Amino acid sequence: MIKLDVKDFAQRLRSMLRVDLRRMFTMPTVWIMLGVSLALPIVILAMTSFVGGTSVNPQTGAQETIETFTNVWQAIGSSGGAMSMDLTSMCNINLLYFLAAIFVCVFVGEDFRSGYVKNLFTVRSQRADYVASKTLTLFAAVAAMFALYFVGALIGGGIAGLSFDVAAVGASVGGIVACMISKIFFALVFVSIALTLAVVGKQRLWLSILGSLAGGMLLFTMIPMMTPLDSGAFNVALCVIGGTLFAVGLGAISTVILNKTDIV
Amino acid sequence: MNAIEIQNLTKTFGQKRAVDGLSMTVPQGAIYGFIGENGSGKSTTEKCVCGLLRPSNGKITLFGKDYRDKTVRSQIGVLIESPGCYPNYSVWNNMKLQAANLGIADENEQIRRVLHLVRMDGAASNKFRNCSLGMKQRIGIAFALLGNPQLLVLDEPINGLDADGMRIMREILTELSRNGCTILISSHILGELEKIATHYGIVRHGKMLREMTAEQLNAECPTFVALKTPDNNTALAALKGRYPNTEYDPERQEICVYGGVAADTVGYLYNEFGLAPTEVRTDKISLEKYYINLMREGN
Repeated sequence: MIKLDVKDFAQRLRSMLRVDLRRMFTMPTVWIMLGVSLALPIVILAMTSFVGGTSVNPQTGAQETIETFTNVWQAIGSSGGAMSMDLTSMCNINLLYFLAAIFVCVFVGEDFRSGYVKNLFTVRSQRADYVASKTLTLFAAVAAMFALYFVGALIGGGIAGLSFDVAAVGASVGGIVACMISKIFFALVFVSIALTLAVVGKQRLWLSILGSLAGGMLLFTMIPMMTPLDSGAFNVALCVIGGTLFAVGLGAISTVILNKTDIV
Repeated sequence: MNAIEIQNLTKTFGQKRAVDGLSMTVPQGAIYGFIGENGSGKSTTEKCVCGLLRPSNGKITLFGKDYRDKTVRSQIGVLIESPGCYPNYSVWNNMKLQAANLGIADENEQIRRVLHLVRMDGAASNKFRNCSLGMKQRIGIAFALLGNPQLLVLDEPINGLDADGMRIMREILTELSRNGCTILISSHILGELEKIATHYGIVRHGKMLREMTAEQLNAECPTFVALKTPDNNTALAALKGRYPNTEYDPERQEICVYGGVAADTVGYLYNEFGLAPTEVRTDKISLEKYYINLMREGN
């Protein structure tokens, strides 16, 4: 007689997390995403440090100064929460939110395309386990992506010879730490949205990716306001609460979708 | 208690009714052959039983409980269409994931057991994508067996298998049935199904056309006399005059006289036409023939 030891929600979630984490860290896509997260800031900072100077606007013919990275922390964010359309605002850590959304869609989409969900939902009827486990696992992976981007930014800044002066960008060391924590928890919003869209899209990966990117575009302008370089406890709390609310709310919606719709 | 009881199941996809008021009963311990044309609703019914599709209407109970009941779900093993494995993972790692999903405590031992059961001991380290179709089907069965299920739902598990693969699959299913496992199996390979099934359900256009036991099928299948003569054309014409239900089977190159008695037909041929059959046997029509006749009647 085989011993089946899964009983309550906590135990079920633990076993599901074990599966998802095992799968995540044996999946090439995860390592590619983590590698890209580390390499991206190195490439951006190293490349843009050579770009500086002026350029001619092809429409007006006027000479314009190209704003490039002069300080490492510009790769993490800007103080005051201002969102500008220059290179430093468009090519900083916030790009990771889009990368994370695509990653979530690929990871969840693979479950449906491989038919893994058939095995899973036949033997386990609780869809909430699946959503909770996916949210936590993907959040952990996305947090690792942000941490690696941070490390990459330090390496890239060092290679490009950028300034590490915190005060020069109107921030403090504590502010930058709070900024990173805020950004990581704000990612929970993107993870939840992408997860819900992946559950809606199921095998149609293109649908969930397009939906997630469109959703991300709408939220993109909020990121600098929610997670400025000079963040404080308020920003952290706002992102933790907001991220958690999104995860719980959209998680409940995802569970309902899985319960009320066909799986295959 | 029955393993599966379905009452008035309906499943619609938009305007299309894939299953239309289907009712069926699968007794515990049965090997239930689920037969029907492509698109008749077999797979849809099986997916509803497995909780992968939401029925539009009707009731499904498994071992007397609602099909969504979590205690019941852990007793089911499934192979629907193809095994849901990650192609880049090894067979072993795929099985480890499913073992963790099931919450099996001694997972390594259990994986070894089911791989041995499906004669796949040596394939554990193979990447799933590198396995042949026959291997994949057997891995699918191993997946389904991992939780030591009381009910197996198999959708076309012998498709694409060679003769040896089919034999192995037959042996596995018979052994499981002997150990008390109920098996719901759909297949187009009726000759194979006939060798193992204890019950049958024949569906058409989403409705249950006929449900019967193997004994009932046997009783319903008419006997016939099969003859081979040196001049089959003359013999066929001669026999048709006396036995209207006479047909020539080009595959076996023999004349089949339905409802005939061996001694009568041989005597008639010899006495009236001087034709001595070289081979005579009495047989029952196969499940395949029965099924084809039933479908013709339906038309």
